[in-house]
Amino acid sequence: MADTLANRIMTRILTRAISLYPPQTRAWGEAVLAEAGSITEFSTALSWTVGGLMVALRAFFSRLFRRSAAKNEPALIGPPQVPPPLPWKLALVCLAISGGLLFVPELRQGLSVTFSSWRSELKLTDETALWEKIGREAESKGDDAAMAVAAMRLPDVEGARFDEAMRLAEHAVAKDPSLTWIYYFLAQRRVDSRFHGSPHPELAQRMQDWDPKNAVPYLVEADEIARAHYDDPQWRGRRSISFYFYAPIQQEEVARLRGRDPRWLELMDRAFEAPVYETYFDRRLDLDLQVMQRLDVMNPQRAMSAYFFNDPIPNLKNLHEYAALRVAQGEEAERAGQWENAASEYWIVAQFGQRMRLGGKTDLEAVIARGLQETSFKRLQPLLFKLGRTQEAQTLAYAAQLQHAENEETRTHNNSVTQRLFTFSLASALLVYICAIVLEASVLLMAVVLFMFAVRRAPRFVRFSLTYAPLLLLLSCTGLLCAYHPYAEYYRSYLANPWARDHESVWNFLFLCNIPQEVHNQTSSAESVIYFWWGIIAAAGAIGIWLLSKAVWRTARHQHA
Amino acid sequence: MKLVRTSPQTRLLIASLLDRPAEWRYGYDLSRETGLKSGTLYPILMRLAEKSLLETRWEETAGGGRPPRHMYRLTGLGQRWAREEAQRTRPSGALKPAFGDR
Repeated sequence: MADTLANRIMTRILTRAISLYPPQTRAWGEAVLAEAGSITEFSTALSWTVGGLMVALRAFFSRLFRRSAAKNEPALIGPPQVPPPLPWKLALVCLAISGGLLFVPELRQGLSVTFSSWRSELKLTDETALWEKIGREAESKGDDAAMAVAAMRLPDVEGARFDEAMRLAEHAVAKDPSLTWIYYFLAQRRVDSRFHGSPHPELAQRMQDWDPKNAVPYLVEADEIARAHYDDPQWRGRRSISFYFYAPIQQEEVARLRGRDPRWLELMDRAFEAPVYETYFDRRLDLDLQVMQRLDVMNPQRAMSAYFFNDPIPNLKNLHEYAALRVAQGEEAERAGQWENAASEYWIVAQFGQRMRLGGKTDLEAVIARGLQETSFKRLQPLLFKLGRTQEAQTLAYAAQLQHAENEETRTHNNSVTQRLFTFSLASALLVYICAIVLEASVLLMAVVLFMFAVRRAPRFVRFSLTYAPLLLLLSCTGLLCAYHPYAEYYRSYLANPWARDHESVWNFLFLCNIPQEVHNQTSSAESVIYFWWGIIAAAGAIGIWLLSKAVWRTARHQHA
Repeated sequence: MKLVRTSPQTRLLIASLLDRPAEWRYGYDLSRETGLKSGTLYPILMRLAEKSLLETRWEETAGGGRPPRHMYRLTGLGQRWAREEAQRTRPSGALKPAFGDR
């Protein structure tokens, strides 16, 4: 090779590539290098260098994967074989940079999130004990906000710990009556299997007294009445009305609904006419985050879960039944020529839908609300024309068109969110986990190596591990930092504005926290998540111990020889 | 005698070595003669040497400050095997020389 810069670089590459060969075959690397000196053309030299590097890499990887390759490989007699020096400088630089990266809060958060996900996968955690402790401490200190949060989190779906929660809630409200809304979350707990109704019917009344302009306290009591008739065929009727989609009803259904408990009808009337619809989502989330932060029990998973935690909505079936009754009454009035009365019935349903859309915080509420509005708009528009209220009818037609466009947009958006979640989000979350696992494995490898070095003096194994583990550590730290960065941003923006209703970001983050479970669900039909991952860990551990013992044994034999 | 998997590239190389069996050959010369790139040539040479079909040695005197070159020729066993292989299969046609004509 002519002595040009490019050729010097190629010679340097081939010289460095020699260290990739196992000691027994290193002479082949030197042979490739020696031939390079005879090549004069640049393109030929480049091709020779690339080929030589490929041979070296092949030898390197075959050393990793081939079983006792050394004894079969030809021992060439050549220049003296000197093992390459251990790259202490490189290892120290990698360790120093990795150590520095570990001071970046995002990286530590990423590690903590993945650690906690594994911990909760491998050992089912119940947060009840934590909230019981918080509740007890808050009671002794008179901390009304903490008592309120503990009260909302304590009862389970079967009603266990309801009495304790109730005691805490009453204590909290007695200290601060503006917390009366917490009764909503207690009243809405699913306690049907034990009570077929609320164990504390007075909760709804207290809420109605405290927040009379809100539809929700009336709906809570109406739900309780309906729940008490859960098994009553007279109440339910022959044809079950859908939970999720409004559908018009037949005459006999109208009669059945009219014949229901007058208190239920009165409550539904008041709910549909109330000027506000609020399920206290913002207040609950605000209080949850504030208390967790103050008591220093906040972590990303808990904070993000608070978004979806315990967000009950009023019974949708009740809403649909009552809306169907009002629409049927409107149609009756229309048939009787009482157009003003009919319009008024339709408007009641439309306006309730509008209030639900504005005050509801869940996608489901938005879907139901739009459905109610669409139903009533469809009937109102021709009726308003008949009444000669042309301008009003045209405005309504415009609103209906806008709503239709919005419905389509929402549907498309929801589909794309779901698709993104199971493609990009899944890949990105897996990358975070892979980086975290490699990071932990490289630290473990270095720890094992140091232990081995101290106990058994295994130079070959130490050399190999100390050469590559710090590099692996640096790569995984950098990878984790880059892969986790979007999630850290989600978390930051969520804490800055938790009520932004950015469902997608929250879903993405919670998806990241549930990757071990997701992987288990996709790959195994085993019932217990715990056994699945413990099985994998046990198998990986056994393979690791086997490889380690083999390396130790081989090194010992080599030294003995 | 089935000692080494005889790919078309291996057959080209043994044909070239068999041409002048007594002569020591350099890697770059073999590469030019057979059209094989270094990334293909050396793994074959290594495999042949591993099976004792190829003998290797380092050049004794290297001039001009360059490192000694590595040289190769077929062993007796290698020559017998190469002839058998040549009879059994014919080379799959000459490949285009990798680095121009000799």
